[in-house]
Amino acid sequence: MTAEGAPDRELAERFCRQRDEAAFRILYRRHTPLLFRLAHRLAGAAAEDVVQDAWVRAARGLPGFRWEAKLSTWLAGIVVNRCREEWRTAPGAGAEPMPERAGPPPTGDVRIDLERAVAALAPGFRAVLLLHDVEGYSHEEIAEVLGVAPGTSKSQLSRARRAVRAWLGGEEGDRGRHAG
Amino acid sequence: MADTPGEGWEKAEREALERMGSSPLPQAAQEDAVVRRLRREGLLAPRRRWEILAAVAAGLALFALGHAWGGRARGPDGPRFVLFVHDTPASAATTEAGVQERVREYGAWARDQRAANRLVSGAKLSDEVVVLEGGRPPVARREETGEAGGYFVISAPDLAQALAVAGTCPHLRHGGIIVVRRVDG
Repeated sequence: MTAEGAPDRELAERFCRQRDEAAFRILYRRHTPLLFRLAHRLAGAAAEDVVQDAWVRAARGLPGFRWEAKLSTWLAGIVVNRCREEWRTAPGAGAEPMPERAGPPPTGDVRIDLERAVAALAPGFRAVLLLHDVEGYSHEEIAEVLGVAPGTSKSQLSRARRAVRAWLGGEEGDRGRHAG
Repeated sequence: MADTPGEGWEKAEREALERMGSSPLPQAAQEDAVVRRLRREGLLAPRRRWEILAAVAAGLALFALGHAWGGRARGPDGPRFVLFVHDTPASAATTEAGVQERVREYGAWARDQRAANRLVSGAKLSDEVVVLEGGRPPVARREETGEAGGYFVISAPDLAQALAVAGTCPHLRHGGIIVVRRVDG
């Protein structure tokens, strides 16, 4: 009998050893909400394809996973790598946190504006901001997910926040930014 | 701006960021799609015969009952409700003996409803699902879970009593889903 509450490692080992479907399904349900949120923000309409591909890659790579990081961190890294394939074909994947054409001006509804500002961030910066400020990852964990140094994560977060702040503040005072 | 999540943002901004953490989920069918891909690649063990049967235990019971009824509608006049029986991965029995027990259990429940003059009809639905959407060619899909595997039609004075009857179906106890719809008119 498969326990829904079994630890990741136990389920993963059962999956690797016995190619056990029930164990895989528990892992899938446990981690997909986070993976889909990331994919949704980082790859938009391709999110479902991204998550599906990521799970297939994870299933192939799981026997080699060394458990030095949390499984969720490793899985998030696979999703981000898969998203990078989308970014290569999408415009706006640059070294600046926010491209010139940053979309429409702020509306005054903070929820809409923040969504737009985050969506306007270049993908790498967006990933850092989402992982840190939305998902609560540490810089060390973000470094593992993105394959960068923790210092890079810190500086990118700082630049991403400044860019979002500048975008939000563009009309501050005139438009009643928090009216909504 | 401070370097911890939430700090440095204004209250409304923090709330907006938190809402970003509750985005929509992928469609439930995605899980089965991933499982099918893994099985094709040999990363999951092929399903054994009893496991396939387990996924449709409720349907098997309905199939057997459908034969016994000969397809004739029964039951009293009055409001009718359709109980769509959906399988989930959790509702599958885990041993061959479990499958047989499940079929017996569902059959006993249906017979009880019939004896109480509440059951009108029931049938197993084929696993083959074809989706028609305006302007597009039909799309065939064989879902292992999620689709209705069968249905019961029951007679009940009102929705509350129909729900009470549906609530006694052993399918729920085994982690399955029952969708109740009143037949209008």
